[in-house]
Amino acid sequence: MKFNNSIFRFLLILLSSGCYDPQGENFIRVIPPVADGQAINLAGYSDSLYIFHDTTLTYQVEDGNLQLIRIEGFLNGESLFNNDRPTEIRLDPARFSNGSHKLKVEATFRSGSGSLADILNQETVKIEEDFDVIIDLIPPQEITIARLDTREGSLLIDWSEPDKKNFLRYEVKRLKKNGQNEWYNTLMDTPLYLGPDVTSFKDSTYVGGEIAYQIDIIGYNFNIPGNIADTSIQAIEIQFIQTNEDELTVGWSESKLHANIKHIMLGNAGGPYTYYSPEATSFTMNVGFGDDYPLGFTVVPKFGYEYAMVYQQVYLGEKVVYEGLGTTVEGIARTFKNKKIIPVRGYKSFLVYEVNDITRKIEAVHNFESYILQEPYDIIQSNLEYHFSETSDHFRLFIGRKVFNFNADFTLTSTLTLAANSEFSFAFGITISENNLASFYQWPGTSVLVNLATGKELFREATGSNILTLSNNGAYFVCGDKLYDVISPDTVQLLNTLPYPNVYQLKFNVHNSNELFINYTTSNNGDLYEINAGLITGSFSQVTSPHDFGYDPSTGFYGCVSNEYFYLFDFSSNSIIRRVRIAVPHRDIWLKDNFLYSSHGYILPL
Amino acid sequence: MRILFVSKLFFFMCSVLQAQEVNIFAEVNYGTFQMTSLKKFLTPPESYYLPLKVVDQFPGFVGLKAYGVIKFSDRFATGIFVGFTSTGGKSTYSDYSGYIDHKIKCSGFSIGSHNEFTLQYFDKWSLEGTFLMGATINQADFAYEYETSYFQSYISEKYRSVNMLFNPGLAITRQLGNVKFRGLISYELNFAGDLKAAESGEYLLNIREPVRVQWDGLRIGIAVGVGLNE
Repeated sequence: MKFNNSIFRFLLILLSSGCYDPQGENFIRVIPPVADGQAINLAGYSDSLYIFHDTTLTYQVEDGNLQLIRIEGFLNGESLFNNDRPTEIRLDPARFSNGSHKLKVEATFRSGSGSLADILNQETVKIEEDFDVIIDLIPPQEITIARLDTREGSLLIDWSEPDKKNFLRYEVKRLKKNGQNEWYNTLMDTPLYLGPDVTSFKDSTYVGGEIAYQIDIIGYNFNIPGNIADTSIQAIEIQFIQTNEDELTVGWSESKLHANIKHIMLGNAGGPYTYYSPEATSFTMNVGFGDDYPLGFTVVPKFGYEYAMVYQQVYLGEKVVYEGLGTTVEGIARTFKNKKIIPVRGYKSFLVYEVNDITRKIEAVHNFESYILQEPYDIIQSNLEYHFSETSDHFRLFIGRKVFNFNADFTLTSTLTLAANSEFSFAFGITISENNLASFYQWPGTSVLVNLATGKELFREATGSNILTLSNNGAYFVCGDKLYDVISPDTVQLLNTLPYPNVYQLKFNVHNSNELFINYTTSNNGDLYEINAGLITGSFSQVTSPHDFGYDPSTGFYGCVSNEYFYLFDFSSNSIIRRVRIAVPHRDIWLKDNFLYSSHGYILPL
Repeated sequence: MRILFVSKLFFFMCSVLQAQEVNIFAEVNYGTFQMTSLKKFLTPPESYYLPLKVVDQFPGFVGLKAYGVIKFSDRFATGIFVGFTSTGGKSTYSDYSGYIDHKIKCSGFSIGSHNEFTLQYFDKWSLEGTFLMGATINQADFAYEYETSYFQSYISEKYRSVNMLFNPGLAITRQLGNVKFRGLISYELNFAGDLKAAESGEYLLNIREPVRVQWDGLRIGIAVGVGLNE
């Protein structure tokens, strides 16, 4: 083996020495390249480039007779070249400061000379162009909504262009209030972006209710929240007029949001619903006097799923509402000395509003809660009674066994404690005469007539009837079918027995103490009993079981309630003058000066 | 055992050489070479991206040879020879930006038997017919060189092959004392083998077709020799 290696080395030495070396040249004359006719044009460039976001510059290169193979930008000497995208010039403004800069664009062309280096793509020609660049990442001022109202049946939001347009888009935030009364963005899951040239937005999903909008400016590296603007538009403005004795026509003119509304539903939850158009619409409904009828309309949108509700109370007559001192009260003001007052009794509460009947303003509110809370038992706290009259100086509050006596300024002047008939005594069905006698039923089971001025009881019957009353002048007291003559402030004596037993309701004519209205549990008639004559002088039998009689001295007609109607009638002719449907359940209704009044604050001219 | 065999062969050869006339020659010759296969390989295709041109195409070149023969009779002598020859080719392109050189250098080392038949004696002159038979070990260096002002590349790879050679010829010899001067002419025939990579590993050149070294051609040379045991 060593022998073979030695031979091989000898041969190598021999082979490598004195070898022929091939020679010869083949020089070709080629003209070197010269740049001529090449240029770089940036799209949109006039005096300068305005850069406010990550921008890929669009360029056009005039090759001349050369071929572009690379283009590279330099801003302030810093290369913008991206190896992955060699033909793009991408400028990220966040890498540089705000203000003016010089952009140098360098285009490299294949030389095209045909030389060896050219063929090997190693020979190139370069040209350069300089451009002015302005980088602006300073955010514009926030957007303030200039106009937020309805147009062409929809809701339009307009705003002015910001002081500069160096941002990418707007984000519209559509805000509603949550249970905590805080605004939340209903478009959070599907953000709504608008282009920077847009300055208005139509909300086709809005069909009414409280809403707000905020237009945010979204920039490359900033987000400027806009100012919130809110509005509340009711889809339909409901109007109603009385078109018949017990009929209202309810309707609306074309909705301001008609283009957004599919239909309007009326009905209780779960239906059935009646569907109405957002165009001008009307319908009729029968209602009774004395209370309101709440109507709840569901406004269904054409687009989206946000329903709106429109509530409206409709009623017969005029509704009387007083406002002031941060509150409102609905009711008929009653005269108490030189004041107009509205007592409002609630559960364990009692307020008296002093109001101005002309201006419909609340001038004072008197709270009697402290008197209520003196009583320890719920049954007493929740069964207070009060009494006052136009001519009396006294406002009396019956709570349990206590009778609190207030003067015209609602200052407590005296307190009377009634005799007890049980631990939980309280009075109801109270009638007080002008001479300060009071008749009432003391629960449980006692009929009482008492002189409030002295505290002396004129009458107490432990098993008495709870049907009892007192004439306005204090001359007569009736308990069940027994008529008593109050012969002095301290004494009563039986005067007569009413013609028929089983009385259901007794009521003196407050304008004439000689007249007692009676209705019965066993008869459908309502009778007029004249005390002086000791006879029934009138009987109204045109309706079933009339009750709550009243008398209007201005017309000489009587009034009563039967079933769901109030009747104005004439006792002497036993004839109906007028019939008015009333609300069910019945409210306190009274007749005065040819008007009908409801304790809930309604007035109806007869 | 091997040492014993070589020792016996040495003593046998010495006894033979002492008994016979021995001539040793050194020869310089000039040969032409066919090299058809390598010329074709060197020539760039017409579609080549540059006007590459063959500027040197395996020309004739000087070779060396040495041989020694034993004269067994007045007419016949035989011995062994070793020889060396080389040639090469080049295709090239150059301009102001750089150049491309493709070079092939070929060299061959031959060894075999040298046989002489004396055809005629003329006093101090003699005319011999020669017949050489042996093998040539070829080496071909392929060099590819690129250079521009931006780029340089040089690739060189070696390939080898072995040829069988037959070389008949005529020689005329003039003897002065025991020094002999000889002129000769012959024609060499080769049974060429394909070039193979000389070393293992990855080769960059793409030699797709079999390429052969073909030394075939006319040889003219002169030699000087010396006679031993005369």
